[in-house]
Amino acid sequence: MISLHILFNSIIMGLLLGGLYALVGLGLSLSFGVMKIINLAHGDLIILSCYIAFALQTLAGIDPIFSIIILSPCFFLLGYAIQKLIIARAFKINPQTVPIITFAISIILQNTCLLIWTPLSRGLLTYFSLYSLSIYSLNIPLIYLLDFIAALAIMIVLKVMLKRSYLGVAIRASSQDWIASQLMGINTDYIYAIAFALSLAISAISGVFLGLTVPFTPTSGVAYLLIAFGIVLIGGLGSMLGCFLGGITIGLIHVLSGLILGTGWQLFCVCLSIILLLLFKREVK
Amino acid sequence: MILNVNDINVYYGSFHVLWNISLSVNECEIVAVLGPNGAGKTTLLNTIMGLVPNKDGLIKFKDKVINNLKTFERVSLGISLVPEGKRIFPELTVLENLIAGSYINRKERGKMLEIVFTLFPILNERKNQLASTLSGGEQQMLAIGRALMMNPRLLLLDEISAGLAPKICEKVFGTIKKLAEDRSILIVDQNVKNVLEIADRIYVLREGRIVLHNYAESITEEDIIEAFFGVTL
Amino acid sequence: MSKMRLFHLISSRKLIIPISVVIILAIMPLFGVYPTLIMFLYLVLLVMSSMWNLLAGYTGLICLGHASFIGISAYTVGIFTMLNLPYQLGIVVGGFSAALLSLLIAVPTFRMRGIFFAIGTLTVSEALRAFFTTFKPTEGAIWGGAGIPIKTAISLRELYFFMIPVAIVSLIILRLILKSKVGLGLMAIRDDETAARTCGVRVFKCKLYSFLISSFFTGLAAGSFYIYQGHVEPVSAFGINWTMLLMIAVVIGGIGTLEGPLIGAGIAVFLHIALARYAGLSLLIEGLLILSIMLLQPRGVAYLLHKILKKIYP
Repeated sequence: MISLHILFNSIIMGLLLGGLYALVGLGLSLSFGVMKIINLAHGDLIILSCYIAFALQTLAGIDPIFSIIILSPCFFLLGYAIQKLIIARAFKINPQTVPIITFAISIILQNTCLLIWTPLSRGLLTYFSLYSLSIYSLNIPLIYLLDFIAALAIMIVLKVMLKRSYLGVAIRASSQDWIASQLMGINTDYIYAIAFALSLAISAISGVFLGLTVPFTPTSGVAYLLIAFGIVLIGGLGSMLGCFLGGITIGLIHVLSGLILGTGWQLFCVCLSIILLLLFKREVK
Repeated sequence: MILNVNDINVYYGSFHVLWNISLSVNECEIVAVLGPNGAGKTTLLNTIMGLVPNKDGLIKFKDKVINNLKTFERVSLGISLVPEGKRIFPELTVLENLIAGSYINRKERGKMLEIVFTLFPILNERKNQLASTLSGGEQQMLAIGRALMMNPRLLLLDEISAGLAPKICEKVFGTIKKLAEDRSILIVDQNVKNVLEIADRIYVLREGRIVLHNYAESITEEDIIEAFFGVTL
Repeated sequence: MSKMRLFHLISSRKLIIPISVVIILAIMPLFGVYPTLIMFLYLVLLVMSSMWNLLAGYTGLICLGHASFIGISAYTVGIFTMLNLPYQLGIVVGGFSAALLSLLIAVPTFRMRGIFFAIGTLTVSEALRAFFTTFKPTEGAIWGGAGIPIKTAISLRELYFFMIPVAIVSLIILRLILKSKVGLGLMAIRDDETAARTCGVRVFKCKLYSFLISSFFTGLAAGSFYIYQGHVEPVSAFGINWTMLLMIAVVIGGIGTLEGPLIGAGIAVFLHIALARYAGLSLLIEGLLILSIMLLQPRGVAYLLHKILKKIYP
């Protein structure tokens, strides 16, 4: 029997991890919600961020937390370029080619990382990687707390931007009716590119925090695509709260299945939950 | 002349929808395009806005050729369309819909909001409600208000009487007459009676061609019915 | 006889080309082990990618979890050899177990719209991968017990001769389906599912048929491949690399065409053999190829060749 104390500790960890997962899902929620296209390379882009942060750390000694300042704008530009040059063009030719194209990007990313960094498992380290917080009898790695706070901060900033700024209104309008948005004088092509760029910028940040929390390999991306998708299924599109709830749900499933069944079964249980979700969700709003 | 459409042809694929259409709108004038279902009235407005491309012919707004401009570029020049089916943003509030309308006219947002709320007080009452919870008539008013937020020089109205109760219809049309004091209006509708009361000039479109063009005071209802159906009564 | 008349005579005999192809295939082993291996891999990939094409190109179902069928069949064969049962039976039962799996996942996944189907099937293959990684059907052996060694007395040449009829039969059945009412229904579903349903197309039935056939033949090819490979483990059998490879073969060749996989599988096998030393380089290049093809000529290399041939023989 698992002691109540360990159970409680795990639940807290699951909640905190859920924050990180919410961030993982947020990027997909943006790109899927605004442009109604699924970015199959979503997970791999997050892992790419892990690897570049890794390179920056091993080659230039830059602490991963600082590398966020470099990575986020770079990924923003990368996202803008990918959307403008590749995805928008593919969409005009035939919308059904977009999943294939994003899958191709996924192939390219996975194998580039494989060639450069080998299949060896990697991780990121920062100043507080080895510290844990001990409150009463709970033992929480500091990094989990950091993940949660970062996720919360980003979601609040994004929510404010979407609600209060003209760009936010434009993004929300373009996701609901692109013709009507054009009639408002909104350049929807530009807005879509910005939304995708934002999605990638968020992915860059979540990548760094992910790399600090768990080990990663070139093929880790698939699992995070599925997790992001599960979060979108639970929380719906375009809702910060929904993302958060989705992230926490998956986080709890992940941690608790590890506790009850063992670490090997974690991915299986998460996948099973997503399949069950797909069965019961008819329409993603 | 604020709008000059000169000899345009429009196709859907290989299907010829509009044939050699020419029309014009002057400053502070209300021009109406009437016609039966499927005549091409909505297509005409969509072509002026750039949602549908046109082969040959020229579209000039304020003496500037706008053929090759994208829709949002034409909008920023000062043309606004209240589209068929209203197309309000369902998951934005009433206020947010109006703010979206002020995207290219941010400086005058406060002033235009006041104007819109004065014209349609019900919008002020419901300003924090989601647009999808409004009734048909209220959504129509929101669509018009939203288009007004950008303070356009030319306002295009597509079938705004559709689905509206007659009383509300009259009210809305009265508002339109007032709006024409400061801008030009091109209105497309099937409601002949209401339109005749406010329009300065009338075009009648049938099967993609203009079959009648005259000043409103010079036309009778019989003339229009004849033009609609191509028969002499 | 003038050159033109001779040409027409040969090309009008519809059997000549297929028969010569079969003859070439049959004598391939005479050239040695290496060419036989290449042709074997080509046939395996051809069958699997044609079957993926049936789902993606003709029915409009982009199945990202196709590896589920490959893996299930591979593990079936593994279990058969572990229990010392005849491997030929193993391959056939492998095909059927893949078909059974497709039946199981058909019901829940079919009601999902396009992209949900894609991710749903991907989730299934990932779940299976996770399951077999942790389940460990063998003690120790390979991959810490998750893998099964497949030791048979069969030679590559025998496997190759098994694959030839499998490939031919699968392509013939594919052609028959596409020319039949079911095929018409499938393409209608691909273009507009709701419209197809209102026209009386039995959407679920059609999708199910294509799913069953696709998984069965994929299973047969997978079983043969893993016998050649000699062992099966979760990452290889259920991994996303298979889906990538199939998509590459189909898309580069030309999605939604019969000739597409013929050409695409050839290109894929060629690149993989040529670049076998650099793990991942062939996939990387193929990924870039998909991008270029999708943006420049979405109909694939087959269409390009078609255009070139038209210019030469108007």
